[in-house]
Amino acid sequence: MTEDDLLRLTAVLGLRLDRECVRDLMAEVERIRDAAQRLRELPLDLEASPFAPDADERR
Amino acid sequence: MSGGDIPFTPAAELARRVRRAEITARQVVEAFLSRIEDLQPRLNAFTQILSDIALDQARSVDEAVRAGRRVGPLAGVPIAVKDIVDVAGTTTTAASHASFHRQAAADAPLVARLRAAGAILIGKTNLHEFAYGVTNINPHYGPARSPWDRTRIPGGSSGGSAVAVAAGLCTGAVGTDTGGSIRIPAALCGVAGIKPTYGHVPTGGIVPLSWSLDHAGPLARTAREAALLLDVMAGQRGTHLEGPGEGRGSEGNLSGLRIGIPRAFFWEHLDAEVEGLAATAVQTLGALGADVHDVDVPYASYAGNVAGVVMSVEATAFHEPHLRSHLEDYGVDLRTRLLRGFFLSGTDYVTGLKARAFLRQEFLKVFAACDVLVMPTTQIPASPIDEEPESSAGTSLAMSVHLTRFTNPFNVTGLPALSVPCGFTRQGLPAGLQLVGRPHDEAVVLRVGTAYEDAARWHLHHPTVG
Repeated sequence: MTEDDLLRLTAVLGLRLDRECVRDLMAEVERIRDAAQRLRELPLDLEASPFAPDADERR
Repeated sequence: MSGGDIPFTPAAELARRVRRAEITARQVVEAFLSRIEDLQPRLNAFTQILSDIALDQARSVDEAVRAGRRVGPLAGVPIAVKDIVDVAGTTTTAASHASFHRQAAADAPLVARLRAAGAILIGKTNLHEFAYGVTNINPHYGPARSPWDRTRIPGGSSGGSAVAVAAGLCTGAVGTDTGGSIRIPAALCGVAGIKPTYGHVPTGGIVPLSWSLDHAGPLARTAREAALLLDVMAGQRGTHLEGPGEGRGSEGNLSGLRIGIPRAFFWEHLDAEVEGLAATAVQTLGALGADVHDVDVPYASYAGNVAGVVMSVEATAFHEPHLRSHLEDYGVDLRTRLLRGFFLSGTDYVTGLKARAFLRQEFLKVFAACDVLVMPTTQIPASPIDEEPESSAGTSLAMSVHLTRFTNPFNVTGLPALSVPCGFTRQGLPAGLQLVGRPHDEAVVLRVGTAYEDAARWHLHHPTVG
C-alpha cells in the first residue's frame, strides 16, 4: 500500500487526513500489519473455536 | 504523630490510628491536601483535586469513630483514582479533550468498594490520553513528572497515580493496566503495583481501552499495602497475603517456593544497570530460601504482536464514532494509534484471539516447573520528557514497544503480575522487579514481593522533589 492508497482509503472511511498525518499512519499500519502477519507463524489449531467457553480461561 | 509524618505512614497504620482516634481523618486529609498544594505545580500528578469530597468523607469517618460505629479497613486513608475511573459527582476526563468528558453519576464498582471501606478519595490522577500510551506526555493536561527527576517521564499510562504515591500525595492509588500501565509507572517511580488476574477486579465504570486486555488494580508504596488495597478492590477481605498457596513461602521465608528465571526474551536487551539491580534482587530471593532456576517460556516474543493486534482493533472499535466526528480533538500519537486499527481485518483479529488462547496454554505449562516467574519490569529506567508535540508523538509510539515488552505478555495471558522496587541507577532512577504467578495466585506473588521488600527495604527511600 502506498501513501496515496492510504489517503484514498481514509477518505473512503470519512476521515480527512493531511499528507503528513498519512505518512505517520503509514508507518504504524505497516507495523501492525506485520504484527498480525507474524501471528500466522504460530502453530494454531485452526479447527478450535476462539469463542468456545473454554477458549479464554483467563478469568 | 505530626503532620509531617502522615504522608508516608503505611495504609494499615494510618487506618488503625484513625480507628483508635489517635488522629482524625480530617487531620490526615488536611496534611495530604497541604502537600498536594505544594507539589502539584511541580509534578502535575493530578487532573482534579477533590478537596470538598475528601473533607466530607473525612467528616463522616470522624463522626463514625466518635459514635463508636464500625469503620472500614481503609478508614481515613487517602486514595487517588486514575482519571479514567468514575467517581460519583465528578467529571471523568480520561485526560482527553473536553469534548470527550463525561459526568459520573455513580462510582465505578471498585471505587464504591474503596469508599465503603472508609478510603478518602483525594483526587483524580493524570494519565496518558485515554490510557493508550506509556509516556504520560499529554497534550491536554501536560506531562506528569517523575518525582525522582522532574525532567523524566513517570511511565504510564497510570503515571499520575504512581507519581502521587511515590511523592506522598496519597497513600495508595487506583490504576488500570492494558499493556503494563500499572506496573511500568510503578517501576519507573519506585513504588509497588499489581495487575491482578484478568477479571479479578471489576472494570465497570472505567473508560475502556481494550475490553479483553483491560485490568484494574492498586499502586502503593509496598506490596503489603497493595495487598490491602487489592482485598478491598476485589471485594475480598484479608486474602491477598494469607490466601491459598500454603507451602509456597511465607512473608519472611521463601523456602519451598520455586522461582523461574525466563532468561530468553525476558532478560534480553536490558539496560546494564537495570539488569544488575534485577539480578541482585534474584540473589536476595535465593537468600530468603527460594529455589531459583532458569526456565523457558516458549513463544514469548509473540505476545507483543497479540497485544498490538487485539488492542488496536478493540480500541478503534470503541473510539470509532468519536474518530469520525472529533478527529482533531485527539493528540497526534493517539490519533495515529487509533487510526491504524481500521486497517486490520476481521481475520487478523480472530487470529489474535486464537494466538492469545495458544500463548496462555504455553505460559501455563511453565508453572509445572516453578511457582513464580521473575524478571525486570522494564528494559530501561525513566527517559527524558520530550516536550515537542510532533517528536513526542514518535517518542511515545517507540517507547510503547520498549516499555511494554515484559509487561504485555501478562495482559495477553491474564496472569497476575506485581512490580516492586529493586533499587536505583547511579542517576538515582528507580528500577522494578516483576513477579508473575498462576491465575488467581495473587497471594503468592504478593507474599514473595513482601518478603523481598522487607529484606531489601527499597520502599524506605522517598524522593526529594526539586
